[in-house]
Order: sequence, then structure tokens, then C-alpha cells
Amino acid sequence: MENATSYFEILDGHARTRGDKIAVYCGQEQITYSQLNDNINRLGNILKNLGVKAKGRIIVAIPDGPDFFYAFFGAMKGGICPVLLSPDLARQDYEYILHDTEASALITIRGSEAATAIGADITQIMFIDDDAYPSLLAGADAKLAPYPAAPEDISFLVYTSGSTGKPKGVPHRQQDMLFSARRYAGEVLKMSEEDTVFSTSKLFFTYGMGNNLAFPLYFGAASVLFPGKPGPADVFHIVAQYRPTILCCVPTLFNMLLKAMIGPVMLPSLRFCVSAGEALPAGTYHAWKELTGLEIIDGIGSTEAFHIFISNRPGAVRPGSSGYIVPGYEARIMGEDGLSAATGQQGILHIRGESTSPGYWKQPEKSAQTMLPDGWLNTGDYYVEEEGCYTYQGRQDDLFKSDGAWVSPIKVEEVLRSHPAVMECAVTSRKLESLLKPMAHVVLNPGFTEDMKLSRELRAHVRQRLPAHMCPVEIIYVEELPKTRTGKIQRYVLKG
Amino acid sequence: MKITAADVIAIMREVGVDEEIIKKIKNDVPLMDQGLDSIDLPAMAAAMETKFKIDLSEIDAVKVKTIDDCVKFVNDRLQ
Repeated sequence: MENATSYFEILDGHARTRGDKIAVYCGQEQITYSQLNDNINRLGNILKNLGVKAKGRIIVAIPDGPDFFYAFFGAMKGGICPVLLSPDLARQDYEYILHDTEASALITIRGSEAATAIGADITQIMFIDDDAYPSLLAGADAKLAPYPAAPEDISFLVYTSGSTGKPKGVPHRQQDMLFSARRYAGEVLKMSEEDTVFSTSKLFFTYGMGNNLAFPLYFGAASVLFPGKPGPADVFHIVAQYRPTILCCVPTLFNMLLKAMIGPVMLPSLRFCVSAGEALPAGTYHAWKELTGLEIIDGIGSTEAFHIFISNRPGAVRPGSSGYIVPGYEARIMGEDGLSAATGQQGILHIRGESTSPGYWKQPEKSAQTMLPDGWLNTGDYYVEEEGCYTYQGRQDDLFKSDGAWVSPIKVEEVLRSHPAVMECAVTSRKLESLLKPMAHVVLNPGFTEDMKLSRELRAHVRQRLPAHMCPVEIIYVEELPKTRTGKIQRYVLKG
Repeated sequence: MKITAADVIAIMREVGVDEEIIKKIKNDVPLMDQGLDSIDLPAMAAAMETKFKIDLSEIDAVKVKTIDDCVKFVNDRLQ
């Protein structure tokens, strides 16, 4: 395991040495390591038999579940690069990504907009919720030799929001997952085969992928998957039923869980909880510790770095901070002058480690801004470091995270402008209960009245078209928006 | 000026919480357990700030779980 250079070696090893151990729990399903390995090979063979060529891309837009594991590893084992996407994107997002990746195949579910957004290059589509799928999978060959990929070849692609509203493809290699599993999950979380992990973040996010796929598989641990978006009742039920030892969430969900608790709650199976995606407020940490007795190990990572590179430590949490550099990574804080900032001085955080993406998919200019010379990655986050402890201060650009996911102001503004009442608008973040939420500043067209009814309508308009975390919690009506001489909206002025 | 549970429920209506949820609301049960979601609650918090002229930007989320909590929290700040 320590010397493995691919997950195929690791999975083969687990199938031999712990084949009957449960690898994945999902609803009523329990998949052993032996079944997991066989089904990965089966799905890889299905793709080969369908004519999906090695070196090509396949869109995988399915809910969390064992089939995600089969599609992810099965594609890679056949030399095909899976592109992991939410099954709930809007049609135009799939169309953009289909065009961007030139994917030739698609694995999805009926009812996903992915199936209706088929690009010209798509020659094969597989629906995992078709009646024929289980027998197709069961009937395929359970033996598959891995495609001879080079270590530096891209293994898979994920997408992350950009400030312009268009998502960026972020390629990663298996070695990125291995490095993160060894250094973060192994050395910080001390994960082992005794663990069972439940992560509420979905597998198409690298945070969820690490927590619920890369890390448990590396150690021979177990993973609990939940296909939908779990609310507090779902989380408590899953923890009671499957008794995970590690619970991974985002701060917004920890807040929701706290709001659902009327007193202390016993979660005896858990060693601790993990948080990332947005900065964990100190108040949330203390409240959770008081009511459950459990630490939340907050950290910061990024899609570009695959997972967490700065983290608190179990038994030594500094509430309100992101913690300390994960072993194997390096960090530096750069001032506005381009020089290293002094201890206690705010600057932009750069990190370096062996899990970082080599560059954005087909975006050399954006790559040059983020993937810097000598392997450094510009995170775009303002940080302060004192005695090795890093504390988040905000973003360099207009992007922000809400409910653990990026909010692209431009994307929300575009949707708002499509409503007849809106002449122009700007979306910024605001703090509410210590977490960032989107709010909109709207200039109305003549004939429309600013009132709560219109605000409800505008929020519903956004909610119907974008993920829930992008829905403005507040609409402020203004006469005009602050702009530069060239007409660019100055969102920082609105934030105050 | 003191607010009551009715004022909080009026805000729920204003921000668009489903009327079916509002009909069954209990003042002493966590709102998260009564069908409100992660969009409804911050929208309510923002509307309460505007209506009652209070600042909820930095408070801990755990402080306000039920309608009774909302009423007490706001009234403590209006004194």
C-alpha cells in the first residue's frame, strides 16, 4: 500500500487480503472489496465493448453510490478519463462541458439534463437506472488488466466554478489521490482499515471524493454513501445505522445539525468530525463540542490541490483557524509587493505539494495565474500565519463559498437579469450567523415595485435555475450600482 | 416594542416559506425539524435583521433554533 503507484494495485490487494470486508454501504446495499474490484472490472469491460476508446473522455453524471466507484475506476482502468459531474447541473452547463472535454461517452441517470444535452461527439450513453443495467453489469467479464498509462497522464477531470461564470476543468492523476491519502488521511486523521467514513459532500467534489473514495479505499476502510443531499435527519439516521467513525461535512451543515439539536446528542461511534469547504466559525466548533463531545477538525483544501493541505489536528484544534500545514506540503504567504509576508501579516496563500493539478483543462492563461513556477499553487485566499497556524481572512477575487460550494456572482447575476423586473444587478457575499451567504443588489426596470413579493419571486427565479447554495438570502433594491469608468461593477464597494 | 411568535411567522411568509409548513409550525420545536431548509433559515435571518434593525452577522447559529428562540433573541436586543 505504501509503495502502490495506482489504486488498481491497492484494490487488487484488498480483494485478495480482505475480499469479504465491506467497502461500501449505500442504502440497503453492502459491497465487499471483492465485489467492488469485480464490478470495477466489469464496468471497464462494458465500456471497452461499447467501443469507448482509451485516451478519450467519458462524462460521469450519477448520484453517489457503488456505481460511481465502478464508473470512476472502470473507466480509468480502461485508459478512459472520467469527467465527474453532478447529475443535477443545468443543461447549458453540460453542453459547455461536453464541448470543452469533447467527451465521447456518457454515464448518467434518466431525468438528468446530461442526457438531453448530448453533444455531437457523444456516441455512447449508458443509464445506470435502466432495467437492463444490473444484468449488463453482472454479465460482463470480471477480469480487466489496467491500461498502461504513464504516471503523468491525466487520470480524471473535475470541474470547479470560475469568476467568469464558466466552470474550469481541473485534471488530476491517481498519484494526487495517493499523496493526499498518505499524507492527510494517514498522517493527520490517522485513518486505518478500522474506520468507516461518511461524507455528506458528494463524490464529484474532490472533498467528497477524497473522504468517501480515495481515503477509505487506500486504507481498506469502509465508506457510507448517500445518493441525495442529506439534511440533519438523514445525517443522524445514517450515523445511527452505519456507525461511522469519521463524519465529514461543511460548516453550513454543521450549523443545520446544531439547529436541529435541542440538547446533547450521543454519537458514540465517531472518533471526530471533519470540516472543509468554507471557514468553520469558532462558535460552531464550540457549540458542537459542547453538545456532542466531539472535535471538528477544520481544514482548507481546493479542487486544484485535490484535498486538504492545511488542517487542524485531532486533540489540538485551534477553533477559528484552518490549522497547520499537512505533512508533505509547503506554504508561503505573499504580500501585495510579491514578497513573502511577515508572520502576522495578511497575504495570499500559496501552497506546494504532490497532489496539485498540473493546470486547468485547455485554459493556459488561467493556469498561468494559478499554477505558478516551481510547483506553487496560488489559492486566491488571504491568510495570516502565526506560529505555524493559518487563519483565513477572505478571497482575492469576487468568488466566495456558501454551504461549502463556490458561488459565482456572475452566474447568479445572469439568472437574475433574465427576470423582467431586473435592469441590472450585482451579487456579493454577506455574513449571516457567521457564515457567508449570497445577497443581490438589484436595480429594477420601470414599472416594477420593490417589495417582499418581488423578492420572493426573484429568489424563486434563481432557485429554479441554479443550485440552492447560490440563491440570494436577501435582495436589496438600489437606484444604481457602483461602477468603474469603464462600466465594470465594483462589487467590493457594495460589500462595504 | 416587543415582538411575538406571530411576527416571526409573518416573516416566514414574507420570505416564501411554504404555507403548508407554516400551518403546522410549532414554536418550541427546531425549525430545521419542521421542514425549513438551509435557504429558508438564512432568508428569515436576513429579513429579521431588516425588519427589527438587529445584526445577526456574527452570532452563533446555535443560538436561534426555534421560533421561541427567535422571539427571545430579538426582544433581548430591542430592550
